[in-house]
Amino acid sequence: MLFNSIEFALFLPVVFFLYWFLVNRNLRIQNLFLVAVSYFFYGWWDVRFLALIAFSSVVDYLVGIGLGRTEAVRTRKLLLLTSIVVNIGFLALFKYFNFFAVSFSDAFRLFGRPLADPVLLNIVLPIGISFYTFQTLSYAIDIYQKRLEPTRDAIAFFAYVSFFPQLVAGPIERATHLLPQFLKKRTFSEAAAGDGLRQILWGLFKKVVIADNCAPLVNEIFQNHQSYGGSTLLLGAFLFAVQIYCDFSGYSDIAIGTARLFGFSLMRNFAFPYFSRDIAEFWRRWHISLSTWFRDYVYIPMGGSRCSTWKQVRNIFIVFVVSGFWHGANWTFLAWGALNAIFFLPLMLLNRNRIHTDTVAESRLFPSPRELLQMGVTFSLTLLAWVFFRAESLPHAFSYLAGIFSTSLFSPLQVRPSILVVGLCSVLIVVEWLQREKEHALQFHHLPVLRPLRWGYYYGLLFAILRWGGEQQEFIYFQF
Amino acid sequence: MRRFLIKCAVFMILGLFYMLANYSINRYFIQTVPLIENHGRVLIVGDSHTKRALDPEILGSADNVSQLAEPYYVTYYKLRHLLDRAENVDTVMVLFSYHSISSAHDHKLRDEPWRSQFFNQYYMLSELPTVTGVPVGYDGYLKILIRRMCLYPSLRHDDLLGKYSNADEMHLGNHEIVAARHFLADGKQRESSKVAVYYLRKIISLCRERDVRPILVTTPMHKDYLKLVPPSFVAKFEALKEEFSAAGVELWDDGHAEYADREFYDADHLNSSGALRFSRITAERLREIIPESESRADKRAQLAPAAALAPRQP
Repeated sequence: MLFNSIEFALFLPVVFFLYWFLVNRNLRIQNLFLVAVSYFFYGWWDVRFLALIAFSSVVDYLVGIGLGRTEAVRTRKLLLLTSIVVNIGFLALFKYFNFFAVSFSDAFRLFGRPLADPVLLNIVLPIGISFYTFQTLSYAIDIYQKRLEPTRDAIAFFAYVSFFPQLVAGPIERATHLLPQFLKKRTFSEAAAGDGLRQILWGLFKKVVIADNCAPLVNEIFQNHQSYGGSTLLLGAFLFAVQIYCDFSGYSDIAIGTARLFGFSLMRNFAFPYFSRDIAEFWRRWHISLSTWFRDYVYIPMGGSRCSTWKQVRNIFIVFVVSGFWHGANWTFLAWGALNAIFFLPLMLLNRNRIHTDTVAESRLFPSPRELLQMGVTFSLTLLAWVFFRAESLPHAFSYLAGIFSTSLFSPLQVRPSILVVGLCSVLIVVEWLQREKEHALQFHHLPVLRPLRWGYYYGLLFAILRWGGEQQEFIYFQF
Repeated sequence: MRRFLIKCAVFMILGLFYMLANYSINRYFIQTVPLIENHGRVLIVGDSHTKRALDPEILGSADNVSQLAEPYYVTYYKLRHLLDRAENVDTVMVLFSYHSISSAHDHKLRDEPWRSQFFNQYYMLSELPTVTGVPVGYDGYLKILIRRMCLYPSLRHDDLLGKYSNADEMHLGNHEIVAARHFLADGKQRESSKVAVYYLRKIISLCRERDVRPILVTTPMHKDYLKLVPPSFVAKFEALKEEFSAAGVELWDDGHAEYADREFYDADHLNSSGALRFSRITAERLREIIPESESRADKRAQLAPAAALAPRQP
């Protein structure tokens, strides 16, 4: 069930009322209800997916219980390994098997010893598998590292793994943050729920109006890149940067806002990343739940930045490349990760990767020329990397980039974005800039804004969603 | 919680009231504002075949409102809507061809891209989501209905009016692709459509109920394409022809008429040269069967002037 569908518009209020008025007296029943509606939500795509998430949940629940019962190092390692093998095994099977099979065969062909055609699996990639497997993995690792006590409440654990707002595209929640919320009674907060609704509205606007209207132009330019000059290709990359941000941060806003309606607090996933002054800041603001997951479970266990220089370089490369690979089984994602590592490394080696930990132009309306330049350079670097992310293959990406860095970069645009698209991009930049110190762009509760004005603004956004909503498209991150 | 729910309810009710008001205003405009385009006595309905083949400028007092890929069940409701408003129409030319009775059309209100196209053109036809025997993508319909009817008042809602269009080009060689699109599904031969035949009969009945002469028109198709029409479709087509002919319906079958390659746009459409010739031939035939001064409105006025002026049931 897509967040931007009529089914979800009916599903959400029904679940909300039943949750607060019918099953609110008993915590276990309320959690059981959440499991049921989350499975219904997930099964709406394909009921077969339910078996996988249920199996993954059972395995990690039992691993958690096992880890809680034993102090024997060998047994604990074995239990952790079980969780890793099951979760990564699912990922490897459903997401990466065909990629490895084809790459292996290609490698032999490259060395002049072609193999028979590789055996490929004709299976559907379960939606959101990368998100919930990382969530269950973090549970087992946290218990293994004794950062978390295992829960005996199976219903709460199942609800934690399958919680529908963040099930299919995150934020990737840690058990240390989300699981305790299932173990205590939730109380309704009008302020949180109202702010949640505003966040949902802004998320929908970003996804349905901005991302979905950029999508046809992006598809056209990327698919037929050889027919276009550099300026048009640059426009395509820019629009893709807007599209992917609005698509994914829009999803996260809807997820976080929805969770708040049910008394849950999910972690922030985006913090206005395109207003970053360097790549390190960008990665602290983009897909925060994934970046911090890799930091905590991959980068730090490998030694992080507290080791020799070459090991630091190695760690950075591994984290970025694995993070790229997490997104999809394609060399383009590996290249995207590696490119980001290359952008990040100089900052880390010069120990300048944590100089921008505040908000740009804090308490000021306009940035300084220096900040503007820094943001421009950072955005340009991310734009370069997005070309790899969006391209179908490495040759496609290189050909696209070659097209940008040609003399035709200064030629007139061959695809002119409509006034609507230009206007929407402008609205996005202005609104998010003005609200960059807030949690999300519609956070008003500290501002003395009159209700008629606020409501007029909300109605305006709803009008835009209904009037200019593009053709319904799946969220890009569902494929990951 | 109570305060929150009350605020949400007030917000929703205000919004719904605004949308309902717009819907009512637009519905009123749809019922009352006359159609801009229509002025002729002959109305041509169908899909791309008639859209490309019959130039109303050559036919004289005619309007070609054919739309791309239009199935009969859409044509029926569209025609009903138009006949309620276009008093001067006394003849309706309806496309009748092998592909128009194919089940290829049966899912066009459910599957993209057709669904969006038809709902955008025909959202004002309130009966459309209830078409008998046709699956409908209600979510898509609702989205477009809200977008077009509930957000602001608009005087014009005549997106359903198609028009003649053609080009002096030739793209022959796509016979197999076109035939596959019309008559095959996943490599297997399609059936003829019961829904299509049902609505074709309803179109004929509708015309007769409204004192309008129905004429079934088959536009010329390329011989290479005709070779690929499955025999079962040919048989069904001929059987229907006999049935309609026996019922006194005018049939102008030019499907196999001799046209040169240069007169075709592609396998099953005429280009502007072909359309010019076909339109001239059709204009001649029309002159033979339609007396100059007897439009439907004239006839009604002669028979019962008061009845002609009275508003008719939609």
